Amino acid sequence: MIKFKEIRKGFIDTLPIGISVSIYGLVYGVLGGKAGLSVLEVAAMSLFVFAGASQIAAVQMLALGSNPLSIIITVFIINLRHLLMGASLSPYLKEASFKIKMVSAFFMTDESYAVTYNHFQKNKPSPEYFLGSGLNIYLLWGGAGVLGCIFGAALPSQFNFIFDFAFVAAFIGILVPMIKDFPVVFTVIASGIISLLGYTYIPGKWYIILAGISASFVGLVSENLIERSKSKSISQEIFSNEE
Amino acid sequence: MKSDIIIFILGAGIATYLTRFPLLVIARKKDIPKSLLKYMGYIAPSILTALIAPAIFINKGRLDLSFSNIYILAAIITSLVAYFSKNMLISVITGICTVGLLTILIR
Repeated sequence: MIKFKEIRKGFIDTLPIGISVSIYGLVYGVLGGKAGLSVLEVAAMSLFVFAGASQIAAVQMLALGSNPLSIIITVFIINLRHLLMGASLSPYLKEASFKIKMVSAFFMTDESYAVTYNHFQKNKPSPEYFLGSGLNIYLLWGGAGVLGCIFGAALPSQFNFIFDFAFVAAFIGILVPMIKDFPVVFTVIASGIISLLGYTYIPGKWYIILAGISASFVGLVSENLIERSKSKSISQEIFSNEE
Repeated sequence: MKSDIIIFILGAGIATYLTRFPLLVIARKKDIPKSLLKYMGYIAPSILTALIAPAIFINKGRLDLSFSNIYILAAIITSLVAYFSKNMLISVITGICTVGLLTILIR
């Protein structure tokens, strides 16, 4: 039995964040159009891929003339974080059927995950709620992309040079709020240096994947080092208290 | 639609779905190595940086750290706005307006 009431509740609870997603979707649509994609292509990407940052990345790589395989790998790597979100929701959905989990998984986004996880803390978990939340983002993201693409086409072409920077600005808008602690700062610096070196010395667009994979190690290692030095200073404190 | 775009969209769609369902359907969190979970948390900022760093610092195929590279100043201003507003649309509008203004000023 599918609980439609739960689908509706998930959908409605997600509206506030869905509206900000649709603004982001407008930006995606404009950039997609400026990169030379048709409205149909912009919409198809939202319908089949349905993952914000990776779609904007893909649009930029298409504009740069990257080969499809390297774009697919980049999209995959950017979206690996979905594994984390899936793992964090799975304990709440143990009772749910395999089928509805497979369906609702397709609609999982950063935003629907956040809304659903929050809801599950205080309410009875249901896969339908999760699905409803995802459907909200799916509709708003898809619709906004199409509108953005149409609107972007109406902008005069002498503004095109500005849109080269719009990609950069869009990513800064996503990236900066992610920088919350030192390991992320080190990751960003490392990735900047590696990508610039890679851009200069490695043919093609493989520097994106190389920097993405190797700079994440810098983040992991620095997090472990910081944790170790913290626990060391705590043990020193305990030790000096004992004295 | 061009065939390479169709291939790309289908491939990227399948690749993305492969990140969405596996751990939701099967594993429990404790079955995944802790360091792998930590590692995955750094991937998104890392990739996003790799996508924009060359766009900012490379000008006509060469590293350009001079003041005449207006993207550097525009990126700094956009980052500050992104930090305080936490809003992507405002960041984008600030960014493109800054580039527009700087281009006019330098001309």
